[in-house]
Amino acid sequence: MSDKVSSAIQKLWTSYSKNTPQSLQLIDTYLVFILFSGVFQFVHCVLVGTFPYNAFLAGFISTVGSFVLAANLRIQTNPDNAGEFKSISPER
Amino acid sequence: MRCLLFIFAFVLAVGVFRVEPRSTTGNRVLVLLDKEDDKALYSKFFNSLEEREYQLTYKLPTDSTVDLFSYGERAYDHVINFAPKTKNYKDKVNPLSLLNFVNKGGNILLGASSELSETMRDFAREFDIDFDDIDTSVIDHFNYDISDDGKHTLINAKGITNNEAILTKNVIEGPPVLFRGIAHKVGTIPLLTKVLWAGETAYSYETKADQQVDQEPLVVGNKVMLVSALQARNNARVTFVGSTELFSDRFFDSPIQRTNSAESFPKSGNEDFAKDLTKWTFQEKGVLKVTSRHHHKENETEELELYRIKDNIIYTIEISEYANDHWQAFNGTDVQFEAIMLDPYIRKTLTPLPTSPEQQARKYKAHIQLPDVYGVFTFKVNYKRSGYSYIEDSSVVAIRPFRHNEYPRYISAAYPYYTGAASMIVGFLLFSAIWFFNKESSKIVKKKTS
Repeated sequence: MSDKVSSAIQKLWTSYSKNTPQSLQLIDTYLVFILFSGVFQFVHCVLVGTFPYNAFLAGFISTVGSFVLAANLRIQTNPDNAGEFKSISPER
Repeated sequence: MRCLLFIFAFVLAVGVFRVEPRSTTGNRVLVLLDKEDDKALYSKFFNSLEEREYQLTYKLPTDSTVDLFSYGERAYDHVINFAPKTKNYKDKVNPLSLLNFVNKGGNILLGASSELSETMRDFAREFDIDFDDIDTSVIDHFNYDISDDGKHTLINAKGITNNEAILTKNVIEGPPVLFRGIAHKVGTIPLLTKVLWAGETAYSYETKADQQVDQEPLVVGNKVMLVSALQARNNARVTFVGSTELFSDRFFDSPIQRTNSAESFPKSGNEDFAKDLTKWTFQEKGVLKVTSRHHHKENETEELELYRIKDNIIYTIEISEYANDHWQAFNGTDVQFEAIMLDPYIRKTLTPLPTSPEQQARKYKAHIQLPDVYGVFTFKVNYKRSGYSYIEDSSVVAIRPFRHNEYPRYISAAYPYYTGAASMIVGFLLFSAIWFFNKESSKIVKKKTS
């Protein structure tokens, strides 16, 4: 069972690194970094308590906002979707 | 011209040789006696008082000319009541008037005897002192003096207070005091101090011949009080002595020897005891006064009415004690400061600062951090000790909360979130720098422009 899962993951990874362009991979690493930061802040808040609630909200929502904006950039720069974004110039 | 000079010199002389009363309350004493002849019985005692510059006025309580008050103010500063037998006190000196006298700040020294009338017994009850019935005496079959007349009522008082605010060390450790009179029971109010009490073998009962003790005595053992002192909340002092004979010349000069004991003293301790007792009662001893108090923020000197929460302030108070006829620095070490808003939030013991001998008051100081609660606080020094006058000194201040720019700038618990947000900023800048200078994206740009 786990053998199948690990081989599926292996296949996914090779397909991903071969087929996606480098710029999209760059955005993907950025997105992963933002994700880790947001998850870390959320887990810290759950464990330690919401004492500086404003600070927690500030940190967490900044990660969420950055994630959303970076994801949008990925969607718009993906060459496979080029047809839907003809009206937007490359400099956006 | 010469006349003017003469007048000036006269005024100066009167000013310089003005008699300063030794007592802090005043020196007018009213002495109430059962009969005129009693004055001779206590001649040594009264002479010693006159030597201490008291003006004594001798009256009978049945005299209608005696009046404690004059135009609403006290006409006397102290009252010595050696008239226990008299029943009909005139209105102006009856127990109600004496009570008003105490409420207005007058001091009373009450002497009782076995023939104590109901009038004075009622007066003592106002102060939670319960004298025994008429014709009872303090009896002690093991502690009586050899000059006793057979009834074993002339006793050497054994229990004496250790309070040095009331009696000096010489009296506490000196010869015993001779006592013949009536016992009283002391109540539980904190204003009372026991000064002299009988030994464990004493009891209070009637002294008729062949009297069998078949009823429960009022007091037994060392609960038999002989001398008690009360200091009222306005610092007026009332002393109850169960024996007027304690002050008599005969007892002053009498030698003391207890039966069945080899210990004997050539002179009883009565004279020194009476002197110390009157010194305390007439406010010559154990009198405290606050001369000044200050509070200010550290590193400042201005006394503000509005402080901030968690401010560091310095509180100082100066307390002076009257002893040996002049005001001198007080020696107490347990004066406490309280910051109160309905309940005390802070209570701190003030440290006494060392003083030089000429200084009249001792300064007490404390460094205090104001509480974390805002509101209107009272800074109070409430010093109530047995034997010393009560001090209650308070000043009201307001404590305000932080202004919006006085809060701590960074909360230490929030550092993870600070680093998270900062990493977002740094990550975004790095990403955009890499994105712009990436070969592939610039290729897309080139394609479009061509």
